[in-house]
Amino acid sequence: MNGSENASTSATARRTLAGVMRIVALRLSALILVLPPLAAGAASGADPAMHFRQGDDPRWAARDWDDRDWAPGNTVPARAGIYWVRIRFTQSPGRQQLLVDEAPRSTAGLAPGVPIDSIFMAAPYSYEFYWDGRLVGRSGTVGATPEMETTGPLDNAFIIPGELLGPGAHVIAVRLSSFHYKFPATQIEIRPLLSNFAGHYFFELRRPVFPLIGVGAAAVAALIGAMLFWLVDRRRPLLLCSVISLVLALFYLLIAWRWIHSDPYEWFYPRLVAITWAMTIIAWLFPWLLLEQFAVPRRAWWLIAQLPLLAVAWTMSPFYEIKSLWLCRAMLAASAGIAGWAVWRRRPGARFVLAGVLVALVLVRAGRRDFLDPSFFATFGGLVLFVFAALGLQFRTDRWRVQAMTLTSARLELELLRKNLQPHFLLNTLATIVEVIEQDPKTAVTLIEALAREFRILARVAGEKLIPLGHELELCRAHLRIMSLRKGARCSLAVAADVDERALVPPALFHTLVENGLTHLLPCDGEHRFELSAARDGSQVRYTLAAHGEPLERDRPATFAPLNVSLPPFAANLVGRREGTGLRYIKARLEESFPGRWSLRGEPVAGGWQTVIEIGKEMEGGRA
Amino acid sequence: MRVLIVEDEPLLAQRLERFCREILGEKLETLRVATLFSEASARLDESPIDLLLLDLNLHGRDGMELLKSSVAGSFHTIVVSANTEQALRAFEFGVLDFVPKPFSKERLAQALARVTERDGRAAGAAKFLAVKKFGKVELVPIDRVLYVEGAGAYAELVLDDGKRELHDKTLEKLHALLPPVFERIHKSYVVRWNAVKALHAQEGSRYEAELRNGLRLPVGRTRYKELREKLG
Repeated sequence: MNGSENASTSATARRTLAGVMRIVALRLSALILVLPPLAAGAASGADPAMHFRQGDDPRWAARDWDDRDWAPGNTVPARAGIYWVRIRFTQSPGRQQLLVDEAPRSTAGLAPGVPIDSIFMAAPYSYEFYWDGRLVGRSGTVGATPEMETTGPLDNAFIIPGELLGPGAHVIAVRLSSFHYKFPATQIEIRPLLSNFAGHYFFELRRPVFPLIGVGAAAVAALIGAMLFWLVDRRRPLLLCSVISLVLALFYLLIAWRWIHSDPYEWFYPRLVAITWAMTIIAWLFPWLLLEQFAVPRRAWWLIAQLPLLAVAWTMSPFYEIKSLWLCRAMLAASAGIAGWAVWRRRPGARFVLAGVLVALVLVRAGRRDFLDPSFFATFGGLVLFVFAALGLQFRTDRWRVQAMTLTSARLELELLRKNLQPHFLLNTLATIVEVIEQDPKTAVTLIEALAREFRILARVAGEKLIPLGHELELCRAHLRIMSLRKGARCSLAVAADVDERALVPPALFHTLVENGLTHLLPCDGEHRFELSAARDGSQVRYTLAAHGEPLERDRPATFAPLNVSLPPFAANLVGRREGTGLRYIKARLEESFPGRWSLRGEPVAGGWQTVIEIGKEMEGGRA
Repeated sequence: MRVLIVEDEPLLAQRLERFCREILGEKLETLRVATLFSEASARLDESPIDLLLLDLNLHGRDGMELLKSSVAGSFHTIVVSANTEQALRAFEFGVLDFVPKPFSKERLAQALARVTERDGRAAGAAKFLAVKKFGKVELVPIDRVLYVEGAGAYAELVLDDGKRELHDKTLEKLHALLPPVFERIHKSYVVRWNAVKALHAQEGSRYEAELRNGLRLPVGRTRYKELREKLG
């Protein structure tokens, strides 16, 4: 292949490929360490003259081979057989040099006087490396066909024999083949870095430290999130937090992988794609986490609306670290939108999240081999921490509520027992018994048996939160039996046929209502009559207890307030303060067993009073 | 004696009635039984009573109002209740006795004796005297009462600042409720004894008590000698 052929090929291809090549050059710069360039004036004076040629000839390695007819430039077509690249350059003493023809430059990073002794290659191809005609290193096996080529590691470092080094003109020749180059791009860039072996290795050793910290931190967060979800509370934000942390750990592991394991160069492209997909998943899940955390309505709509945003982020740049940057920005922008909504709706912690997201949006930058810089991890970690803190607060509130409910249960049991053991009921009954013993011993026995019966049932049900309605009715009837004898009026409870006696109700629910009826109504025709009916609608039951009698003027209702146990403040809030203790007890019991799913109302009806209790219905607390 | 029983449980009302009849015997003039205080109180003006036996629960505001209007009346109130923890409170308001349920005949007799006997005293310390004023009942702290002046069927409370309050009870009934520091010095006067500075014998067998604020009240001839000794 002669020089004119090469020149004409180059001339036609160059203009049309110019744009592509720039992109490829930029892309490949992502693969290679870039140290801050020196000031323009300090750049190396020697222009490395780089030429390439397709074909294979061992003589082309020689220092003084005439390559002036070769094609100039540092990029070669990919997956197109064996190529040779020759670079002529002048070694500057004690100076790290990145040997590229388009932007010939020296790079800083080494202390003055540190000897140059090695070549670093970050190369997605198999090659042999010659320094002044002598083979100093190889990566994989160069081959004329994909089958003949074997792939070597992406990153390599070669010590150059001391006798070959020294200031002055040198020639590097690289024999390469790139059949396993997986990128869609058609060009490969050749960028050897001339440096000090120890110095550069120390630099490279430090690079995975931050991504590895990221792996550890994110993995721990994922584990904690998963354990909390599994063991403590099945909340979706917790699960999302765990999954995001897991993907984040994977994201950082894939970044750090380059320093952990020497992959063949063909794995390089899949790894970049995997990193970008990990970032995509994070960018989709994190706003979801915020949607859940702030209980935003129409979450599915937000999640679908995000997808075009992520698709646009993928097209923003051909370089994967820039894609990741744009994905991150898309995530932060969506998050800012959600957090902004949450601030508007005064969701707790929303201001904090909005501030964090906006700061991250300004700060986040792309690094080359590290992808997103540490500010990404810092802000992201802060936001995940916030989610944990918010969940922690929720746990605490829940625990308080559970404790409050436990305490309330204990108080209610105490109240139930107390209101039946308190002087008013028991001593009045005993007073009646004393009278009856003297007058009519037989009735006295009946009365004592009824009293014993009521207390036996009470002892059985007092500790329960819910009891079968049948037991409750038994309790009511025992009570009515006693009151019949005491009041000298018939007291009866009629239960409609369709009332399910196996249904569960709080203990002393109707017992308390019956008590209230007995005290607030005067007997009608010498009778206290109660009727219980139930209407079932799906999972919802409506009980109606009708009490027949003449409403008492409000002259002595206080005589019959059977409870005088003050509830703790939280329970008082549950049931409201200014009402009879009997009603308060009923409300507290209903709230205990059917939180937010009950209602209670009482109303005068012709010939008495009726109380309606609905259980199982979603509603805003109870009404009296 | 005219007695009213307020008790909503017929068996207990019956028991109270039976005991009253047995204890008071001849002394019982009339005896009525009511289920509620409100239904009986309306008729108190036309058929006055000397004693009310009241079943009462003090819990809540209404119980308190009921007790206040009862003790402001011209009659004595004896509470018969199962709620013994309310006894102290009832006494503070000026009930004569508090009979806990279940009650025996002996216990009721003891309570009734406080009404029938001369110099019968309340079983507990009153802190207030309930006074009817413009249709409402007001509480006068007993600490502020200097002396009480009888005026037939009524009595006048004279307070430490000179104010006077009319009470429906007779002087005798009020004296039964007042703490022992109040001394009967005259058929028309009961005075806070520690407010008395000196006793003076005037000409014509007239005796006077001089109070610390300079006020002079008449002292009964029969009481003078005993009071003289008490003053030392």
